[in-house]
Amino acid sequence: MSTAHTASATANGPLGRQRRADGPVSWLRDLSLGVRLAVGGGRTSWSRLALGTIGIGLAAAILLIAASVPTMLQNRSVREQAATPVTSVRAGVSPLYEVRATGDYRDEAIGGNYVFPTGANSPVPPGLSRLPAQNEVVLSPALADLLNSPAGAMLRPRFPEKVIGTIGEAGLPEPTELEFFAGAGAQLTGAEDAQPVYGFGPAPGKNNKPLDPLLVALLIVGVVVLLLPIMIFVGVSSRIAGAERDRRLAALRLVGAGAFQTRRIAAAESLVSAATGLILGAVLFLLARQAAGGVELLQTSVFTNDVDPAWPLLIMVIVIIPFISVSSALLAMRRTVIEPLGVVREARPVRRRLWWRLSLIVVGAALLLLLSRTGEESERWTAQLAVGATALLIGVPAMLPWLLERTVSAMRGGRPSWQLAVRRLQLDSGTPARVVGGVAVVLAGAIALQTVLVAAYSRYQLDGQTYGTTTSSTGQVLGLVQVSSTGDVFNQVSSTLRGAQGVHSVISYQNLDVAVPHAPIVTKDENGNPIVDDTPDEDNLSLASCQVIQEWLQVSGCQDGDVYYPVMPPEVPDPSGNGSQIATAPVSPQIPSGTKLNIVGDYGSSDTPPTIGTWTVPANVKKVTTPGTNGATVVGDLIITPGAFHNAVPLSELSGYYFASVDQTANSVEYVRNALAPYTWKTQAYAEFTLPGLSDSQQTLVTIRRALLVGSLFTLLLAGASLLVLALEQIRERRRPLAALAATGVPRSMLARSLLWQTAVPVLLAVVVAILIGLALAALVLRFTSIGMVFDWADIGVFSGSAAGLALLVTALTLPALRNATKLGALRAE
Amino acid sequence: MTISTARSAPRSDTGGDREPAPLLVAADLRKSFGPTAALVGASMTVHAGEVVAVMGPSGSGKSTLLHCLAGIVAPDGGTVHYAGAEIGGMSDGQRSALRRTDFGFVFQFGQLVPELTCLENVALPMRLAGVARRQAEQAATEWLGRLDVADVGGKRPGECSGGQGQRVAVARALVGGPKVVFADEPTGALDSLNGELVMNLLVAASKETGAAVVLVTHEPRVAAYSDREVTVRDGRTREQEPAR
Repeated sequence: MSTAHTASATANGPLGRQRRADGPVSWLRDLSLGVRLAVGGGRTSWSRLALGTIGIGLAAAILLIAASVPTMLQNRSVREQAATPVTSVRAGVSPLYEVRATGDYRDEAIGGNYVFPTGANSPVPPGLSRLPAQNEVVLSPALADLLNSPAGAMLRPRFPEKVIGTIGEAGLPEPTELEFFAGAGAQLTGAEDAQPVYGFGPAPGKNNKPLDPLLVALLIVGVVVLLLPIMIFVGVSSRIAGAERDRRLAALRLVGAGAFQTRRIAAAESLVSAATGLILGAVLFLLARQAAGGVELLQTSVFTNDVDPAWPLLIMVIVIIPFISVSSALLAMRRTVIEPLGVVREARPVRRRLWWRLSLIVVGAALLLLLSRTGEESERWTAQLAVGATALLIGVPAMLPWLLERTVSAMRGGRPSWQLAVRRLQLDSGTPARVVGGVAVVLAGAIALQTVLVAAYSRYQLDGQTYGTTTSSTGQVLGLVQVSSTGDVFNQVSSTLRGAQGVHSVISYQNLDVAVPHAPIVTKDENGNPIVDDTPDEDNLSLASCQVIQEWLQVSGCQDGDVYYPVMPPEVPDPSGNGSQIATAPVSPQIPSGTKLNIVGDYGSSDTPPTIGTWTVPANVKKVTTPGTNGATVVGDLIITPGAFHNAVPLSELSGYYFASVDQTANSVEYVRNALAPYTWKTQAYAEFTLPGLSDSQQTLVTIRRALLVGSLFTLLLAGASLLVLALEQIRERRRPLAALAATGVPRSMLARSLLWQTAVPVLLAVVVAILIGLALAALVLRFTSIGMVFDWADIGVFSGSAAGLALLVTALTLPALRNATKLGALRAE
Repeated sequence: MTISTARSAPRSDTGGDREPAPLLVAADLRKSFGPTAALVGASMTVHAGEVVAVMGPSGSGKSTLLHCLAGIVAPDGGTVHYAGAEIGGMSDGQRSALRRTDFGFVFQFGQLVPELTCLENVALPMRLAGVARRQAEQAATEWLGRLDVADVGGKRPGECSGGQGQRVAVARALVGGPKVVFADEPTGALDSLNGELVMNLLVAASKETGAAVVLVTHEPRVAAYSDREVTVRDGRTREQEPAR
């Protein structure tokens, strides 16, 4: 035999070789050995690597999406600024006249601009290749899609113009926006709201206002709370098969690997799964990015190009995942000295300490309890609220390992499956507690928000019932659609509305803005100098025909020339039961007869509105009580018939308002809007009633609740993936003992039940803690409002049920692995 | 196969009057695990090239003695000197280097890295010592051939039989040219035929390379391969010549 080659290896003494073992070449060699161990162990290594990769990949994808949020906001802001009209005069530029028109279709907001170029060099808005001429329109892709779909059938009549193209990405803040640019005639230049535009882009010297530092702090806190489960997930994924790794490293120590070498090898092993996880995460992110374009979530959508991680954050993700991965693997070895004979744990496992875990919750609760009921405006108040809530929420995952350790350590006896599970948890409760800690923090946050929202929702629910409807003479409950128009088309719009499909009756009036003079009011400033205030009060009056007034005010005997002073009924209790009155009619004192009022026009760019005429309050003003909450809201401190107005100003200068009573269907509103379509920007119509019984506020609350539910269930799924990875890894790691149990006649069903308890106990504990902390947080927050605590046991039940279902699902998914592990062949292994 | 299985007397330097200095000297070793005393004043010496069997009933402290001799476990009291240097005074790095270059280990099971092939397992000590891969694997192939397990070089330990696995472990223990091989119940998991084969190979190979073997066993059949026996009982040692 030749041992010459070994002579070089043994030529130096141990000290000399140790110096070499710590050199850069040795580092590289150790790292490559770690990589070799991570990828080269056949099926076992591959399955271990696959589990780690999937775990880290999911987390990386979510982090990359989160890292794209600043770009999404930035790009949106840039596009919004680029599309901002510049109204200051630019020499040599023929202005583009533009009128903004907004409206709704079903539940979607539609906005657009009617444009008229005054010259060849009139500015073209971003996203448009050319300006539409009269009877031409450019649509946003989403609006074009809607118009081409069956769902847009009722909208098509509102766009009779020829479609000449779609608005490009540069002209839209979000891809799902329903926007249009329609060409108009020269008459647009004289329109009341028309503005001359000399260009588009941010006004010179106006930079993006940076976010309020406090808001940034709040965002950071929110992000920390949301990303906590993901960080936990990365940590757990990198600790997969920890015991197996410890045994492997012990074998290396036996043949002479030093302690630092062992750590380097372990670090390289975890780096591999971090790297493959990052690659998988990048692939998942790219897939999600493609899917994200055009998807609307919480009424927000982004362009595919916007889903682009900001460079600093991208680098942070690339650095932080391997960092967490490696530090988590090394941290797991902290209490475990990898010794040549195997894993020697410190003589006695250190008991988890309660004080610092509890202190987070105590500090959080104390900060919230010490908050004064006033002072919501101050930054300190907001910061205290944010820090308190965050500390309370972070306390949840901090408490869980301690709580689980104590709970399982007190458990004794039970059936064999239970006993097996409890003993296993007594051996190592840290990892399952950390996994479910992630879900607990999100559940607690979701339950807290949900409870606050439900409490708010309960109030809105009562509010929404009586508004926006009227009862016809036949007792039919009708919905109200409020319409506004420019004064020049008042009469035409009135008759159009009366002839529109589904409209039962119309109350139409014109609005007068007036300045009411009053006697000088003398007050004193802080130095005792007198201050005289003789600025007239601003008020508004309404002008309506007798026919309208009789229906509106429910009075009889109206004659042209009458003037009415409407007052609200003596008591209109607030339906929410708060005891206050709802103002459904003016409460101002009656303007004395003989008072000469200045009728004012639009402010325009001046500080004081121009006087466009005068009108004197006549002597015979009739005081009437309004019908209350049923029907169209009575508007105006005085309601004047045309005979009493004497054309004090041209009626075409007074804006028109209308309440159309329609059937309570979604289509009836669209019929009204379609009937008004020929008036283009001159009219706007909004449904005052809600379908099906939900107001906008309620709808928002419902959306937020749904989003919370979906978000929480998604996080539950993420935790489920963690639990599954953990359970599979435990089965793989305990193949021999499991096979030995099966060999001695232990039924597989019993082993499966044991796995179920192993998953269910931490999940159950996490849900209980999450519910308690969530409700406590909600109670502390609701302390500052007059709203009482309302428990939504249904949603809490959904959360708890989902968690229980998750435990069952995870167990079910581990059964094939269990069946494999309990094959007797598993007993034969090195 | 070039290994002779014939038993030979311990190689001692008889050319001079002086007794050669022992390679490994353990004096008054004490070690407790919690309230349980494993060693209470155990002493023994190992000379270069000899095969010493450490015998004793289960729980007598023989494995603990081996671990203390190899510097794997630090004794609570007493000293272990290897080639004149006290192992207890060495740093963890120095002890690791010692295991890498001067010691070899064969245990009952669990000493092979399951992720690596048998060839890589055998080459591992040399790779850890900084030897180039090709050179290390060449030596490993040579040793696998000598122990008649060249055909399992590309397999992982889990794919080999128990006997093959132990022979791979012996090859790994000897590949670095160790001065001492520590074998703890090396045939404990093997049938008698395989056990005999492994012992023959271990003893013959170590004789050929001049390595001393410290063999922990409770089987007289295995101890019969040794030149000298040390009996451990209740943590104390008693040396005796084998009754052959």
